[in-house]
Amino acid sequence: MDMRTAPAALPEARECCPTTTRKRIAEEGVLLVDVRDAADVERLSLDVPDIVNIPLGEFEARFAELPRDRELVLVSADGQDSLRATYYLMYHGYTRVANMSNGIAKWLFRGFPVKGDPAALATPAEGASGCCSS
Amino acid sequence: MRRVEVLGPGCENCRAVERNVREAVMMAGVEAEIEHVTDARAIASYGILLTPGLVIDGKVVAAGRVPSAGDIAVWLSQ
Repeated sequence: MDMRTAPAALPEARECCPTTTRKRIAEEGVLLVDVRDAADVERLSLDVPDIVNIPLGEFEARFAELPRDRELVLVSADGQDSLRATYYLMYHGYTRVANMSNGIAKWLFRGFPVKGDPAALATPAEGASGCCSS
Repeated sequence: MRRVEVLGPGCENCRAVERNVREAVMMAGVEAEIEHVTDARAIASYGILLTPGLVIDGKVVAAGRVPSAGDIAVWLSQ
């Protein structure tokens, strides 16, 4: 039996749209963390200088690999799994974390650079037209 | 009155846990208030990443799997 107890009071997770994420990569050197399965990453990944892949299924065992002293932006196909991972890191005391809202679907919608086949992303861009406009 | 929370976004596995909880409540012969928690922040507040999760009286008893009605009935009886 799992024995975690008493819910922690977590603040609302920070959200960071793909446009802002790209800006932060250039200006702040944020580290992106892709939580999709390795096979999905192999088919399609963000073309950015600094990104690591820790699949959600391995996240509990491997999250400690992530630095606490650096800004992290969590990434997934549609922003839902990465939101869960963001909160999980916050639960474990990470403060410099944000979720990339609407995920890679929105990144593609914006026409930002990727490696691989954009058609390989199975998840539709839910709310893909509602992100920031810059 | 036991308080049971099923944690998850509403997928088939989450619904399976909820069905098993209702069956377990009958098996254990206890009164229980059952709530389905779908909010990501509320789920994470229990330290759970992989859903479905199951919480009984504030304690996480299972995460990332669908526990059987029999297992849940035992937990409800403790």
